[in-house]
Amino acid sequence: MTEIETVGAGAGSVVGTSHSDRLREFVGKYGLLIVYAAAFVFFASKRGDSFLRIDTWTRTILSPTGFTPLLVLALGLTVVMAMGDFDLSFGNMVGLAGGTAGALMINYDINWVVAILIALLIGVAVGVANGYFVAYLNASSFVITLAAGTILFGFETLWTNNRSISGLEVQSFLNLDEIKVIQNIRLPFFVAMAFFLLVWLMLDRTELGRFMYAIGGNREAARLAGIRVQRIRTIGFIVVAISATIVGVLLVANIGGTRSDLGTAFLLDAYASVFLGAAVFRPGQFNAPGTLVGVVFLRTIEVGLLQMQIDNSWINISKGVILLFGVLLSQLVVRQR
Amino acid sequence: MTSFLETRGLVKDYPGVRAVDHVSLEFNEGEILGLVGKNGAGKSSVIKILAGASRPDEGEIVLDGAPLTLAHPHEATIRGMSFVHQELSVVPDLSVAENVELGLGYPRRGGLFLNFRKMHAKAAEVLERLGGGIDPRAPIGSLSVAEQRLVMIARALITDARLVVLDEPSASLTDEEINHMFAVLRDLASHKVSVVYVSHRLEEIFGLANRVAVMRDGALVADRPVSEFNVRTLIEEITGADASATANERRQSYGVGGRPDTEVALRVTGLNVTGKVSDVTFEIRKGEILGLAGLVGAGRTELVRAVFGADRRSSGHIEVNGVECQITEPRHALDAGIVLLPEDRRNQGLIRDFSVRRNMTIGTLRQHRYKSSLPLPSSQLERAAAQRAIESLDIKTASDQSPADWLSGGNQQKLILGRWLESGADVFIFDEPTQGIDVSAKEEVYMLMERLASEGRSVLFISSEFGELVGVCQRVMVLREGELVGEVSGEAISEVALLELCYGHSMSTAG
Repeated sequence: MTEIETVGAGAGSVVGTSHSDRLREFVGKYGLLIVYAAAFVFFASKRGDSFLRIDTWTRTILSPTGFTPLLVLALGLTVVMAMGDFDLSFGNMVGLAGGTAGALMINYDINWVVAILIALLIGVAVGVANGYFVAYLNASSFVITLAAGTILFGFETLWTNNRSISGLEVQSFLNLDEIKVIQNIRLPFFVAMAFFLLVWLMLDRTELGRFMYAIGGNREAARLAGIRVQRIRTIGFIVVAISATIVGVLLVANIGGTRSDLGTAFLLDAYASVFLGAAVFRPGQFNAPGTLVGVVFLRTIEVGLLQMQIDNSWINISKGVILLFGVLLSQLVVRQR
Repeated sequence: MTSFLETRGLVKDYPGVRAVDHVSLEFNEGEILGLVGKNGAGKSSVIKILAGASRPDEGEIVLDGAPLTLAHPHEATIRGMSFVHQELSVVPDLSVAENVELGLGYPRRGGLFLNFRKMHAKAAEVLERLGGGIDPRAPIGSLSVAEQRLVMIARALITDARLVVLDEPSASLTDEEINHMFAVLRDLASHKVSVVYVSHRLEEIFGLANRVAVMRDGALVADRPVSEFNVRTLIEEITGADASATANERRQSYGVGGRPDTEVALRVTGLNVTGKVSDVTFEIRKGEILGLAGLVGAGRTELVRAVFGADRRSSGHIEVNGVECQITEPRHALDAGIVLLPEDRRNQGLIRDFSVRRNMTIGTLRQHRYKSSLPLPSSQLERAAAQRAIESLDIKTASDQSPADWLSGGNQQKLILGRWLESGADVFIFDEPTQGIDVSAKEEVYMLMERLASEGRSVLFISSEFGELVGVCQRVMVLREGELVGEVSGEAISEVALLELCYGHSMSTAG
């Protein structure tokens, strides 16, 4: 009945910035980067011969099949998570987009540009459907996108008769993966970086991005402040679906065919990257630069440990532990508020 | 009648407010005590202490001559006290019998399996005493509100409660259902149960209670047999001595008063919200501060939320400056020039993770672009706008980059007002803007409303503190049970006049 609050407290008073507070804040903001630097030095000292070579980086850590898909997907995910939503369907959306583009080119001889456009169209439709059910019909994004993912997987196997497709020989399409832009760095890396810039600018520099963070901060207050919450949440799901389509198409260009499990392997790593990203720069808030750091971090650990010929089981255990501590680090600052 | 339970000098403080101020109250066997008072007078706080849901800062509860410490609500149940709250606390998916005996230990077979036959028989027995007609096996969600309330009373019977407290039990009940409930309560009293009946409806108090206790500002101000009251004296006790102060006397102490224009800024016609607001029509002129009074649950917030497009309305027209507006979401209302400062500013107003600056500009971001054609906010322009609002509203904050969470309640309220100051809005709806803020901050809020009015804008002011409405408004309309029941203006505005309308009693005729 009675509203409990501290009357007059905090107003005007300068909040204490003692030594320990500042240290806490520094560790909360940059702690993950320090851990990353430590890991980097560790790998460089152990396997400096291979770990420090540019070639290693372009072919493994920043590879078209590891780095690019993870970064693009994690960025899409960052957008919906900034609004407090989840998307579990993008893994299967990658498969559907790849399967669609692949099947259209191989089975129907359709021009590769048209094939990509059709895949994109389907991606947008999936995003709209997810957004409609979640934002307009007020269903849980967790459940809706889980269901959507299952449905998408079904369609993908229907399209491709549940078989892997291979032997794609449309050279101009395969070039999407093979073109070397600078030295040995291939096009997919630049696609990922361009997507990063786009999402970064959108979230941090545009009205749309500000509205997205407002929705994540307090959905009802955002609505009462005149923000079109339903529409903008739907845009979030469309962004994720488009990111999945881009990844699907690029992966098909890389392997010259398609498999149904094309994207599902990235699901958990994408979530891990986004959560790690919320542990740097702006603790507690999902942000694009943070997500980039999260992705690079996970890739470095994975490749570094592989080079040390450490068993795959230990790589998974390490990644899990890093995620755990990364999230705890960001809590250092958030809990204080 | 013998007293078996009493409170001695109960005190309960919340930051900035003394919710319960040395309340000593006796409860007698077989007596029906009516407990009345304005919203926030402390009735619910006393009940919460009795129920063991909150602990008093001072004072004690004495049961059968021995002091009683209630550390947990369950202890109150064990001691024979039963509470029927305003909001029904039933588990909809469980059956009537399961609800009646919830938490009291269901009868078991072999210590493990529930003995449904016994459970149903026990529930049927008490339900019979309440007049029957309720099937113990039915899921409680299928029952009417009145029946569900009877089931909650059945809980009291099954525990052989000696004290039954009902908080606003007649809300959303029909007359017939209320009469039936009264019969049940009188029957309880005749079996030596002490009944406490909390209600805003004075006719129910006069119709049911043997004794009336009145609370005001946390203190017990009257405690006498019902025969010693009439409606007029009871309302006077509820409102206090200065209740009859006229608008002018009040206005002097608040130092405000407006000069409304004749042009109508907002006209609402035939507005309905299913089950909450029925057929409300009103208008606000430019430069006017219109008050909206009513008791809790009268539909004030529901009405303004429907006008603002935050909730769906089933019918009704809204005109701003003579132009009919299609308002189905808050965006439309804002575009039409209507602004709402919500009741629950922490959960509906503030964006918690945002700084003061970003909270300030979120509603008018379009006005702060680098170039008007590009949707890119300029932090320089945002900063300037935030600084202007901070200065103009005298908001106390370390910087415009501080988290909005750090501000005090009054400053948060000003922050949310600052969000709309430069939006060019014509109509400002303040829903309980002074709730939970200190006295000087309240005065600042009044002055800001006055300032908006003097700029030719219109203010709709909802408050449960009728003294504020008397002091600030040129006209006050009163909502009771979703209907507009009257309006007072100018000199005629007084707390008594407003309360009469709220309670549906005219003192001159009934007194």
